[in-house]
Amino acid sequence: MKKLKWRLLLLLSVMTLVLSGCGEPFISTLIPAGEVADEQFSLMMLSTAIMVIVVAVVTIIFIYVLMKFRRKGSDKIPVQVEGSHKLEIIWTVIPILLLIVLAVPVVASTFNLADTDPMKKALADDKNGGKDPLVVNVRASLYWWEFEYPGYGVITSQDLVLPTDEKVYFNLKASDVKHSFWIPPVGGKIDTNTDNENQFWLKIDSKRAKEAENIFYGKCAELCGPSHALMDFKVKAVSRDEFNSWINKMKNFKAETVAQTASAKQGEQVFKDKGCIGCHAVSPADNRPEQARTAPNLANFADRERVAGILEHNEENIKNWLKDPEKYKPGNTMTGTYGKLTEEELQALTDYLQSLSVEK
Amino acid sequence: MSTLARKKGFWPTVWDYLTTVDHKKIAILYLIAGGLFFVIGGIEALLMRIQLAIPENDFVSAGTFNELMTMHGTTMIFLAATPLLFAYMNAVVPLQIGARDVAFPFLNSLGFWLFFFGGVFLNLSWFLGGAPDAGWTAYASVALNSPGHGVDFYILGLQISGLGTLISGINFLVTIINMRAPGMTYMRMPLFTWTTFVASGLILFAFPPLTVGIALLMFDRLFGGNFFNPALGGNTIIYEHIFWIFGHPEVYILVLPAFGIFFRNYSNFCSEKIVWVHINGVCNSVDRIFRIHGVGAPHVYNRSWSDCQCDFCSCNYDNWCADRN
Repeated sequence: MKKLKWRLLLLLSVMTLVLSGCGEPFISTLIPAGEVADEQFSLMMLSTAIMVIVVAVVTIIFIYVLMKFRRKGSDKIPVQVEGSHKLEIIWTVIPILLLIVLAVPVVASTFNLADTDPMKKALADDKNGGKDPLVVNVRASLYWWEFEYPGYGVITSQDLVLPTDEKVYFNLKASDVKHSFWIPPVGGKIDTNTDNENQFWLKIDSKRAKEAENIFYGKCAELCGPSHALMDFKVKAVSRDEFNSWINKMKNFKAETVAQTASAKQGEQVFKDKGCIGCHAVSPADNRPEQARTAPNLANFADRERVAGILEHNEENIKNWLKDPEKYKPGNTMTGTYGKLTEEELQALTDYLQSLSVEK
Repeated sequence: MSTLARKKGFWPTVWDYLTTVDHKKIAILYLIAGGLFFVIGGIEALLMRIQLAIPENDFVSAGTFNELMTMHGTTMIFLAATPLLFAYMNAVVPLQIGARDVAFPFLNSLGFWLFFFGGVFLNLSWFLGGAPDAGWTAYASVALNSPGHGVDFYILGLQISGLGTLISGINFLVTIINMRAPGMTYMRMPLFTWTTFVASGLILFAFPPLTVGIALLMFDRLFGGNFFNPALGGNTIIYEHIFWIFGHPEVYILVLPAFGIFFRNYSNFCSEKIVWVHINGVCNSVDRIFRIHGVGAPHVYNRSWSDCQCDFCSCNYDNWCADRN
């Protein structure tokens, strides 16, 4: 019986080690992929270590005292001890020390991670304006994300392309309700509010990004409605050179000439006739004011990882999404805006959308 | 009424409990009601778990899941945990200080029935057009955006329930301050009574902000107010601050009586009078009243980076990882 208990214990402890390795590098907060995530992770580990030590010490003392001073069958009331200065001082000082050990790194990190002065300088400079360091304006809506690169005049949605190995600064706000911007392995959560803009910075390490195959999953981290859990975005981590070439392609994207086949051209017409063009811009240079940008920019739709942020990117899913968006994202603001589409219109639209690309 | 006379029969007993002002019977009522709501909240949790068990599950719709999540949180905190603790406080505190009953027995009963009917009203929302779906904290922007009347049920149900809790809190404060037996100084009070005292003080300071916050929400939702509408000069973050001025003391309201219970159990089973731990516990508890109001801020710390936020973060070492708990 004793042998079985030991084996069970061993199995359980090995399992905890194995199970704690469960976490994908593209989404796990416990597999940091950048400087911000590293600092946050080390603080997590520090506080967990402190807590584990405290729990262990208290448990050991507790069990020891319980065993040593247990009632031994006599009815004698034990000696009533009325205080011990030594003990009281010890158990006040130790928590204070632990507090200092925890507080100093936390405060230092807080100030470090909040330092967005380089962004203010960059934005104030006309020639720079958010190119270097890169500045991204994030705008969260129900249930999609808009990313603007003010230094380049490019607006995109859903897929955030970021250069690795350099600090990228963010201005974040929301357009309707409160959301929260979170890329678990890289950093966040930072709320996007309707009444103010928040700022922070992130940095992605290129080596660790490779382990995640250069795609990180982004999530919304503040309850915003029925499709809150479906408000995903993706982060493409690429080298600065690749980023420069991508942003150039985006700047030079000509939406008018992108439809080549007959079906795609027909789709372009459907896109205009059904009113899609009223909300969805197909050019990265969208000069409309913020309030008018009520739908994701579709300029590089064909290059994106997902349809509507959550569906695998293939023709069938595009058609499914267009046929019945409410089924996939309950409460989304596209439902009911264009009536029923015929099979022909669906195919044409799909072909058109698949032609919207800067990489092809 | 002689104490030896006993009501016999089922219905007379029911009537007795429905109209009682005796603290022990009210404690039993709190236990039953709290237990009932605990089961309801538990079922909501189980339904959520079933939905989450399989990827891409469609056991409940997304909107229903949000309703389940909101109701589970609201039920467990306001309608299960607080009443169960009130049950203990009602049953034990007057006996521990040697009082015959609480200071205002009628208010005690009123407090219970207000809580109970507030809880029933809140749960009626399931059948009357949908439960609230804005989270148990009902943050301003998503609560204002929520279609249907679910959040209105939340607001009104919690106003009624909260009033009941506030009444009971004041009741205990007065009982403990005024009705201790002769010779029972504050320092001779059992620790459970001390923690109840502190928790009642917290209730007195914490529930009014909740009342105010959800009243403002009610004005915005029902009467065209714009307290939390940034387009017209309002501010959504202020709701979060007001809510968490309530929210953080609330969790201490829940935990302090529990601490009191196990302080008391330790001293009983150790046959020690536990006086000095007593003093420790007392000072700790009183100091908490002041500290916890300040340290609730970290619940809002990921809202915006600002330098003054850091002071609150560093003060509250045991909450630094709080994320809209």
